Amino acid sequence: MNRRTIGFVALGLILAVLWFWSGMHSGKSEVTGVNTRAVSLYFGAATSELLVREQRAVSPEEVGVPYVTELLLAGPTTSEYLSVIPPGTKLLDWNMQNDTLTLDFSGELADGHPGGSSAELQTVFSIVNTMTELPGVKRVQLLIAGRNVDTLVGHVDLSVPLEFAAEMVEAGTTQ
Amino acid sequence: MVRRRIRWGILMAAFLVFSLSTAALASISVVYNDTALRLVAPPAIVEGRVMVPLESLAEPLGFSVVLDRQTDVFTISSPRGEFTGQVGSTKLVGQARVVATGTAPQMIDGHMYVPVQAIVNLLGIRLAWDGGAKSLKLRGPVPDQPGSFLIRDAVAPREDEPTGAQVADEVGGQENVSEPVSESDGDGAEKVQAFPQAPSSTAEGHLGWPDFPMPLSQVEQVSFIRDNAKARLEINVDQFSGLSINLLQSPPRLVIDIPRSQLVVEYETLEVEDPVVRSVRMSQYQSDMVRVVVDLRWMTGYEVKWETEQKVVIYLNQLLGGVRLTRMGSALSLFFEATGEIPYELRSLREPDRLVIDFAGATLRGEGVEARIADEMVEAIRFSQFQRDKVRFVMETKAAIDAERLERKPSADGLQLLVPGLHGETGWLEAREVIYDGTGYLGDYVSDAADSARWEASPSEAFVIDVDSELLAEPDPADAVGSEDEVGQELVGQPAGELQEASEESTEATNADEADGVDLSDEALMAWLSQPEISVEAVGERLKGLDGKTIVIDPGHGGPEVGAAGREGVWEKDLNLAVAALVERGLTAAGAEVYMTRVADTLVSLAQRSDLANSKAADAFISIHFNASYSKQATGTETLYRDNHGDSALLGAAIQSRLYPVVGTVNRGIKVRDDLYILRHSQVPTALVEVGFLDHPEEGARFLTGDAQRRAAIGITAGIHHFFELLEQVAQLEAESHAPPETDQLTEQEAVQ
Repeated sequence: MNRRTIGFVALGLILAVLWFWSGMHSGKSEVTGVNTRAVSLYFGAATSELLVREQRAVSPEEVGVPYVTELLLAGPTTSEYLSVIPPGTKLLDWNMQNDTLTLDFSGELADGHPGGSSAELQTVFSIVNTMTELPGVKRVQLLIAGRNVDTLVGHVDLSVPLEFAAEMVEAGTTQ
Repeated sequence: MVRRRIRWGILMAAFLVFSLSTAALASISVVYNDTALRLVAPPAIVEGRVMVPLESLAEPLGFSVVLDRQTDVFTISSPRGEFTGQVGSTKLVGQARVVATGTAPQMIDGHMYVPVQAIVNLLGIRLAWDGGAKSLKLRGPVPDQPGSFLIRDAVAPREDEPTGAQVADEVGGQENVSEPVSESDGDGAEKVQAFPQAPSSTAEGHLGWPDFPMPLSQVEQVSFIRDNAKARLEINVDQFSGLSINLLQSPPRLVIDIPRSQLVVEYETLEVEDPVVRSVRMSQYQSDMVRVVVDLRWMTGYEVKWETEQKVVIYLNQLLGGVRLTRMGSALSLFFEATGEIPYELRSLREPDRLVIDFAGATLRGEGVEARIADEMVEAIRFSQFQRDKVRFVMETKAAIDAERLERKPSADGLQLLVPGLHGETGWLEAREVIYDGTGYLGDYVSDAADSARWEASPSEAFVIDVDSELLAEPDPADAVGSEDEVGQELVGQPAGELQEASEESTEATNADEADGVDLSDEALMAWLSQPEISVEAVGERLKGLDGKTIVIDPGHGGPEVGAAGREGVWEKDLNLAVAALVERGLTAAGAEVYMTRVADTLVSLAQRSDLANSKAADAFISIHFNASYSKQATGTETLYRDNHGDSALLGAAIQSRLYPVVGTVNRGIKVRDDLYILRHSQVPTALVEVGFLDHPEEGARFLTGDAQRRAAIGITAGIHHFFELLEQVAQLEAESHAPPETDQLTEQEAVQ
C-alpha cells in the first residue's frame, strides 16, 4: 500500500464522515457537505394547516422524481412535521414533458384521504411544492390510477397542472 | 387532548372511555359478557381513544379477521357484514355502511390495534367503563361460534381463505380462546333462561341495541340534588344498562333514554326549585324504555358518570349568570354571579395587559359579550363560553394588573374580585355597573364618546342595580328596544326563551314602521342574530329584501363522496346538507329564489354544480363545506373566493363578516384561491364557505349540535343578505358620484354604517 493509496482512503473516509454528518442534520435547513445535493420536501405542519419544508441531503444521482417521491411518501424524519399523503399511496408512473411533470399516483391518494379543503390543499401542494423545487420542473399534473380527475376529494382542481404555492408554506420555513 | 369533556349527545360509554388516564393502562381489563378477555398485548391510548389488539377481540366476540401483512389491510367478517380497514385509514368500509374509527388502526409492537369504540359500533354491542374494577365492559350476544384471526402473507392465494375454525387452529389461538368462549357461552345461556320473557326487538330499531334477549332493568329511584357542589341528577337502576342523553332546545331540556328498562318509581314529575332545573319528568316512554326529561331554565353543559353499575349520575355545569363591574373609589370590584362555587384559574397577561379568568365546569348564561368600556382602568371586556365546559372572562386593562394583588371573595352565589386602583380616584363605571346579565349587551361603553352610553338590549330583573336613569333618557332610536322600566316589569320572572321572544317582539315593533331591511347597527344586528332561540326563517323574514334575487346553494360532496369525517360517524356531506337546507329556508323567507345543487345524499359532479349556477345566471352562488386538516388542531371559519367575478370578493367578505361572529368561531378570514374547481368553473359571484373544522375535538363535536348548525345557517343567510345590501350601497354611491352632490344623503348613508 503506497502513500497515494493511503491518501485516497483517508480522503474517502473524510468524505464519508462529512456525508454522514450532513445526513444527520438533514432535519435542519442548512445542508452542507461534500458530494451531496439538497432536496426540499414539503410536509404538514404539526400545529397549523400549512406546509413546512424539510431539506435532505442526497447524492447527486438521487435527485430525481422517483427517489424524491419515495422520500416524500416515506414521511418526515421529525415528529414535528406530519405526513400529509395517505398511507399506502404509491407512484405508479411519471413523465416529464417540457417543464410539466406528470405524476400518476395509486388510488390510495384519494381513497385514503381524510377530506376537508385544508387537508386536500396540504396533500396536493405537499407534492406540487416538492416537485417544483426539482430542477426543470415548473408545473405538476396529478393523475390518479392513470386517469385525469377533477379533484382529489372535491375541492382542488386537478384537471390542470399546478404550480408552486408559496401561500401554503408556513412563514419562516422557506428561505 | 380530549379529557373529561362531555359532548352533546354522546353515549355515556364513549365518554368514559375517553376519560381513562394513560397511567392506568397496564391494569385495564377488557370483559365480554362477564368474562375477562386475554389480551395478547395491553390496551393503548391513541388520540384519546382506547385501542386494543384486534386479534384478542375476534375470537370471543365471534367475528373473523383476515390480516394481510403485506398491505396492512384487514377484513372483518361479522354477523353485521364484512368490513375492510387499513392501517392509517379512519374508515371501516362495509358494503352497506362505513364505520368511522376516529383514530386509524395501527401496528404497535407487531399487533394490529383498533379503537374499541369502532368495533363496538361495528358490531352494535354495548360498552361501559367500570372505574372501580378498571375494566372495559362489553356486552353483546353470545357468538354462535368463536371468531378467528388469520395473518395472511401476500403469497397466500385468496381462494384458500380458511374458515373461522381452521384459522383458530392455524394461528395457535385455540388454547387461548376456547376456554373463555366456553365460559361465556355457559354464562350467557343461563341468563337467557332466567329471563325468557325479555323483549328482544322493540328497542332495537330505535337505539341500535343488539337483538338478543336481556332482562329489563328496573329504574328504582330518580333524584335531583343541589348542594355546594355541582347540581346533579341521580338515577338508580337494579342493573347496568346503556343510556342515551340529548340536550335539546326550545324549551331547553335534557332527554335521557334508558333502553330496556322499566319505571318502578312512584312519582312521575319532580318539581324542583333551582336556578337551572325547573322540573324532572319521567315516564315509561316505550314498553321497554324509560325516558327522563330534565326541564331546564337555561341551556347548560353536563357530564355523565356511572358511579356504580346501579347508579348513574348526570352532573350539570354551574351556571355563570353574569358579571357586574363596580368602581369603588380607585378600586374596581368584579362580581360574577353563579349558582355555586366554581373552580377558576386567574392569570394576568401582557401585550395587551389583561386579566384572564377561566371558570371550569361552567356554562355561561346567554351568548356572552364583547364590549369596550370607557373607564380609567379598563379598556374592554370579553365574556364567552370558551370551550364546551369552560367560561372565559377577559378584561383588557390600561396597565398591567398583578394577579397576586387581587382580593378574592368566593361565596355561594358568586365570586367577587377586588382590583386595586391604578389611576386617580374616579372612573366611569360608578353609574354604569351592569356589564352583562346573560341576555345580551346591557351597557355598551363607547370609548370615544364617554358620556353617551348606548343601550342595545333590555336589562332583566336579575342584575339591574342602581342604573342611572340619565343613561336611558335619550336612547338612540335605532338601537333602543323600549325603556328599561317597561321591559323590566314585563319580564320579571320569565324564563330566558320568553324573555328573548319578548325583546324580539319589541324590537320588531320599534322597527315595524321602517322600510325593508334592518336598520340596526352592526353590533345590535349581530346580537339579534346570535339569540339562542331564533330560527333561520325568522331571520329571513326579518331581513327581507331578496325579492327577485336568484341564489344557488351547493351543499358540498354527497353520495359516495363523503367529505371529511366528523365525530361519532357523521360525515361532512350530511352536515353540509343540513346547514344548506336551513339556508335555503332562510333565503326563501327573505324573498329569494333558491336553487339547490342537491337536496338528498346524492352524487353530483362539481361541473354540474357550477353549471347550475351559470345556467341560472345566479346573483350569488355559495358552496357550503366543513373543513379538516392533518394536524387536527386547526379551528375556525374561512370563506374562499376567486376573482372569477368582480363581486366574488365582496360576497366572501359579507358572508364571513356575519358567519363567524354568529357561530362563535375563530375568524380565519377570507382567502383568495385560484385552484378550487368550483370557483374556477363558475361565472357568477361565488364563495366557498368552510364553516369549521370537523376533526378538531371541540369544534367538531360542537357542529354535531343542532344549535351550531342553526347558527351556521343564520350566519350564511345574513351574510348573503349583507352582500346584496353592500352591492346596493356601492351602486348608490356610484350613482351619486356621477350625479350632482347631495351631501345630506351621503352623510346619512355614512352614519348608518
